[in-house]
Amino acid sequence: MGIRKFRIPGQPGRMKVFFHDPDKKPLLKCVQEFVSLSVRKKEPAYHYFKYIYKKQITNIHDYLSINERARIHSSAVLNRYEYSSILRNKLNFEIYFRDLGLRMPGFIGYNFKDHFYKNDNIERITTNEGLKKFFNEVLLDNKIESLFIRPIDSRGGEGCYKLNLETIGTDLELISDQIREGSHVFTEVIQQHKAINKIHSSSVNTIRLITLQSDIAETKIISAAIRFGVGDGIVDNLHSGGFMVGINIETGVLNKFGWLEERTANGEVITHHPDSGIRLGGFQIPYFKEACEMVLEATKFLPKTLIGWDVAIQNDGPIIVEGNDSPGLEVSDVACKGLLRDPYFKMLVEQVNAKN
Amino acid sequence: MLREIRHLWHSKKEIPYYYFKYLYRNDVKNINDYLGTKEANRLHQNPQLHRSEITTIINNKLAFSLYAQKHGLKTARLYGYHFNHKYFFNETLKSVNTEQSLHHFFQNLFNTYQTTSVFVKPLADFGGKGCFILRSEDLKNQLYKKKEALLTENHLFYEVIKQHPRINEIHSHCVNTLRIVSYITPTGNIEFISTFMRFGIDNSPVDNGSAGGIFVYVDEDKGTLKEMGIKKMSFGGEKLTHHPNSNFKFDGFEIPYFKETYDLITTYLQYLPDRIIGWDVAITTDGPVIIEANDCPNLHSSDVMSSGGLLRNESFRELVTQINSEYFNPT
Repeated sequence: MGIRKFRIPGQPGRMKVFFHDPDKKPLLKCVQEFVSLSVRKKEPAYHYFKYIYKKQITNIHDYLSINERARIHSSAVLNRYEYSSILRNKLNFEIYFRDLGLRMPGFIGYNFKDHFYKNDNIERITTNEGLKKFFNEVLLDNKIESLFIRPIDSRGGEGCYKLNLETIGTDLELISDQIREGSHVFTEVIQQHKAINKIHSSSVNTIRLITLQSDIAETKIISAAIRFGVGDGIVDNLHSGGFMVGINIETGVLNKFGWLEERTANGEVITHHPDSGIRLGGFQIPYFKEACEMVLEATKFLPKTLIGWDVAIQNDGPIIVEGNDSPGLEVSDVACKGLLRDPYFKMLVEQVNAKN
Repeated sequence: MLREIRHLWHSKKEIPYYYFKYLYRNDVKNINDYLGTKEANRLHQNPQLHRSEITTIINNKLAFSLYAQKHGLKTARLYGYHFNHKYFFNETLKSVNTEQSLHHFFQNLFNTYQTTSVFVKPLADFGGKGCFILRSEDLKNQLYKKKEALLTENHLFYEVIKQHPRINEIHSHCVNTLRIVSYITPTGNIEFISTFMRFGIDNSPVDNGSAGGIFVYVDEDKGTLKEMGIKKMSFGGEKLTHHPNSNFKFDGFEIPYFKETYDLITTYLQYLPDRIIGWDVAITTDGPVIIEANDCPNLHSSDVMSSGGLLRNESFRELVTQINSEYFNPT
């Protein structure tokens, strides 16, 4: 009888990667750990085969299981609509936090399909010519060379565009239909810190900081990671091909290894940026302390238990790009070497598990 | 009745429980012009009609107020709000943990805005649930009764609306609002498919049907109340020609600023172009103000109060036919 192919749901080929990874623990230990985790988590510990099987991971119980992540994301208590709708809708986020003095990219305008808004004016634009005229005016009126366009309500960097005055005609030819069929906010392009530009300059590489608020402890940052874009992509999100490197929360220094969904699916880790070749481990994030202080201040205005803040670093300091109501926890889990190491987060997960 | 139930069962392809809410009445002749329950649900869920980037503004009352204020749209003035014990007012954030600090907060609010009352509304609830007015007189006692809600939940604090004196003649204990449902056709035209007025009763601070309020038919061409008002079935379904407290006769009452109300909604729709919205409008001494918008308005109430069923509107009927067709014959 041949060996049956064992595929984890949604992860075709993951087991093949596991078996061929030279960085894995001895097979017997892997089996023991898998069984132990499955019993402890009360579910098959499929998450083990993503990362936890690697030699350097000794605290296997400090990582969230697949069902635990799902329960956190679907918990009504942790995801109250009145908070989530301010975070998820980038226009709500802009209006709410701008008035509270949060440092954010310059806001230019927005559209709901063919209704376009700038400077308290509304225009219905139904043609590509009209669109070109609108954006031309926007760029000239604001004396800027380029503009960043993001969907009002989407995640993962999908549907983001950069519009340049120089190439506005050709840029719009490719994206006019998508812009008029969707809803977007238009903001100034962030001028990234030169030190981070040395690593990668095609995209703004944002820091993802996860804050945890509770009634029983002071608000804290429980995970920090920086995401880098690759190639010519203008966004850094993992779903759009970027990769993540964990940050030491105390020091603001990058960990040795990066995590790229596509490449670590083959067992590889990243130690240098694939484009610039610059070593990642040991890099000091400029203004990291200030970035942390900024998001902790922002959480005072929105008491949601878990928020994933995306922060960019400019030459003169940090700037908040957006807040995420349902931040991807898998990446943050790896970045901070196990979210359950935090006693309050662990308590929170136990409460969520108990309710289930 | 049995014939009608059987007919609706066949034509709407659902058991017509809704028939027993209103259509069984003698004066209802055109039962086919009313929405079925499942038809109404399909409308609420249809992504062509509601975009999340707009509904997340509409459904979050704080976001809605801030958005309207940003664009200079007429809405109830927002004094402040709180999330649990974090209180926001006059660009400052204060932690309010005790009855004493609650008292201090509201005294400060009353003094700053030179007012003696504030309308308190929960951030997340609908149907007028959990709303109340706080007054500076005997504030301590009121706060004692409301302290748990004010220290653990989330509320908005609004200026109490100065209702038009003519409407106060009918009922002055609460703000009595118009509920208007707008529909944007595929060609971008705006149609107002249902308009009726709600009146509170007794000392209720709100006019909602779920709080025992009365719905009164409106003559949309004349801008006047019609003869009849009704209560929700859960409150007895009583028909009324006069307000039970003031005994004011509804028939022929001219609603102040009626045309301006449609103009205001038309302006709002330029900023919130969701295809079906239920608008709650108060009429003040200076004109109409939007109290709130609902992306999921109770279409049954609007259906009953539309003087003959929502499906009498040709554009709306076309929409419902299309949605039913997509549902029963998916490609």
